[in-house]
Amino acid sequence: MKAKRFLSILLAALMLITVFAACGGKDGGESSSKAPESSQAGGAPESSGPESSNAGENTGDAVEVTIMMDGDNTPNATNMVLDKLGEMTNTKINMIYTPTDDAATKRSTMAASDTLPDIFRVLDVVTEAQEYADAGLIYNLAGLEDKAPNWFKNAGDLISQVPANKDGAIYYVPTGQLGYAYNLNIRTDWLKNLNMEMPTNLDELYDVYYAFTNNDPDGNGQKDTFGLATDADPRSFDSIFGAYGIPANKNNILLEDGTVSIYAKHPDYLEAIKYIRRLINDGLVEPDWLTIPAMDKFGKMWNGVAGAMEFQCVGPTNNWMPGRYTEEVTPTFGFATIEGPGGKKGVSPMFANITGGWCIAARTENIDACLRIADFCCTDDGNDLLYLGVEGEMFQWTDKENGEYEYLGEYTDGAKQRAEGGFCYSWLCPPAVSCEMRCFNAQTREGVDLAHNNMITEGVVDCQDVLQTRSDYGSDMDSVISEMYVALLQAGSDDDLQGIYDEYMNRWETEAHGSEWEEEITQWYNDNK
Amino acid sequence: MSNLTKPPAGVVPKPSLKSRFLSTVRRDWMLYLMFLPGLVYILVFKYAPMYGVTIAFKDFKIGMDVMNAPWVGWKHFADLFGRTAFLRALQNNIIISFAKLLFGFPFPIILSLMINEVRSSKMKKLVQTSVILPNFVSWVVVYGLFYAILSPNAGALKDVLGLFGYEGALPNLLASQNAARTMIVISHVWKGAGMGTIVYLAAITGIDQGLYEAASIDGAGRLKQMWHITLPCIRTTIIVLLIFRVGEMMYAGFDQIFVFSNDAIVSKIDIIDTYVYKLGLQERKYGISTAAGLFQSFTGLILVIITNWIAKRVDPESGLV
Repeated sequence: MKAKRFLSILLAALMLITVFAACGGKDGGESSSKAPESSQAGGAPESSGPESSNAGENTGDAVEVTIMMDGDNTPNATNMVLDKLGEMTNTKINMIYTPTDDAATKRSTMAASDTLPDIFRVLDVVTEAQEYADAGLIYNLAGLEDKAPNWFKNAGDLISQVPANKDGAIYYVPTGQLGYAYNLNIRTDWLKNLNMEMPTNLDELYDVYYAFTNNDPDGNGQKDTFGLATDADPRSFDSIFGAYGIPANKNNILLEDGTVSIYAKHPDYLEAIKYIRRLINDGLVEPDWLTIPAMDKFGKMWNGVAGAMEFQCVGPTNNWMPGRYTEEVTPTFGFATIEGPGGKKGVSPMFANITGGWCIAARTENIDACLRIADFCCTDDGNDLLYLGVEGEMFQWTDKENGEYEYLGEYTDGAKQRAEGGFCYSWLCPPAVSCEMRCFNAQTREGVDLAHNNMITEGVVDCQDVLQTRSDYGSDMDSVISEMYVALLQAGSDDDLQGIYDEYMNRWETEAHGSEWEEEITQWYNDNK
Repeated sequence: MSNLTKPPAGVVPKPSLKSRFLSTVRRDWMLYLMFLPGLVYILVFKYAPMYGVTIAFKDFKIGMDVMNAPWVGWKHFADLFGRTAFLRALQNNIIISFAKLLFGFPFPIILSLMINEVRSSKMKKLVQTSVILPNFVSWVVVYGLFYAILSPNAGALKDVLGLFGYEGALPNLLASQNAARTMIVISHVWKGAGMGTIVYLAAITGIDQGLYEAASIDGAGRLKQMWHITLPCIRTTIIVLLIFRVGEMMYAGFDQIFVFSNDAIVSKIDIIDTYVYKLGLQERKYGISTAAGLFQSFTGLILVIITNWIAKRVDPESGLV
């Protein structure tokens, strides 16, 4: 009876502990993050100034700093790069690494529960950064510029262009990077095997894709290759849209009647769609394109399944070279510029933008440590560490001046290098000219320049201000356009296209409030042009 | 007067409700102690957060205290029902839930009847384990399996058909509007049916074996025994589970839909949960998304009450309350 009684009490106590343990947060533990008084709702925190610092710099102790990053790699939870970063900044890094697709959701959830990490990236500089600033969730860094001189100097004048950074406040620090425009990367070894030239127009491009699919470009005697590796993002046909003068990266364009609207309203949009449909219907595009995960799409290039891919050339010709490729002979690539029927050509533009910057949470207790990390990462040495790994252990310079290096031992394997943190964190508060850019091989440097010179900028409207309709109905508008794009590509015949297009655009204009947004952005454009 | 209030001599007065409750607690204190954590759990995690539903009637933004957010009445509900995307999600929700109920609910019953008829205990355990196993696989993995099987280029199905000499192009079933809901229902039945059998098999185990022996003596075959004994004996269990399932009809399976969704089929499978996720977590529109959640819960409650009422009308001994 006693044993039974004891067991009952024990079991009930255990269950109660479990219930309450689930209620417990992390704040009571080692976390550095605890809301300061200034971060309470209703107002933005004031700059704390150096005197309020309790960072490790002053005490000599390594304080824990939580950083949230997004990416599609899978570094080990603890790794050499994070250890080294902690050592260099006298901190203990607690890294939250999320898949890029989940990052915004995770951030929103953390923001709603006021558990934002100490340092985090915000891609949506217009709406999201503004909301966080208004809610007092991000630290006003004004007055702290001397604590992270490299970081602030790198952002320069872009800081004042951020809508959230009003009246001298600094909530959001842009990276200052231009971002890579896309290239049409085509395998030149396959072209050589087939005795073909680099395509320059849409007809030649079709012929190349046809030959890649049907003429055994890898010479293995099997029909196991395709022309193009793509996915459901219109940008994976960027240069084809570009050949019709359409910037397909969700860009806003100025129409002939003076209205600013979405790129899908370009008069040649359906012509571009017809060409892409031909590639798909003739089996020249890898057939999993609609459902393929991003890394699997890249895998089609790594494994020699596809002969071309529209993507920033930094991947195929630099970062994946040669470790990611599995064929016996490493493939070679060239870049095509495709001219359309009207002589148009180009790719979606990248602007010297303010999107993709970094914030520090208002609730941080270690502002000095956060600034130390941001500042170190924004130096060449810091970005070298994050991109290449630990010098002397993971890589060594062979000619640092010219950006030449070699990986050491097992780190020649790209997967191993990334598992130990190489590359995966290289976009943490990076300098405008990153290690990656400094170390480009000659071909990649040429490809990046080519893509930038090839950007469609005429008639493109880059709006970085908060527009109410966009804020209210942005996702509904984007969903209709994405669904329309896929519906057009999957339509039974070209004769159906106009009907499908009209139906979706009608939905976009009325149900998704696209017309209201057009009016608002056109007004904005006329006021700011 | 006092004679009216005082009990007659020799009659023990009926104890009050409070004293009866206290004596029950004293007698079964161990059981109540075991019940306590469950009660605390329900209060802390189910009732206390209900205060959050007030966000559906408030202009709440990140960083605000819910209590101090200004009231906006039915504004979020009006906004929600003014969005065509939400109405589409509601329609999809109803269709998918109904299809899942129609095909997913009877399947475990049939499966458990079949498993019950397996005479070899080893085979019975093997089958039971096999059908329950998919329940423990996450939806992400299930999608991965479907992708690995159905991929038109690299899927196992293509290889299998290749063995039979078929080399034509395969449709991408995971991106087909016509097949989208079917794939959702098939994967739902495959994953969940095994787990559903546990309750039914437990109920079947409790049936008096004498009934079967008597029926057998009377010349009833296996099918007749199943129809006239097994099914009526587990009828109450079936009805209770049906009521639970109907109560969940407004929740068509977020995890599953989320991983199966893509631009080609989203118009056919976008449900309230995924739409709320988009609005609430991706766009931080907490008011509208809470309004949608409240609408879901309220509709679910009404459905449960109606089903329970129908169940009581059909069979007074069944139902929840």
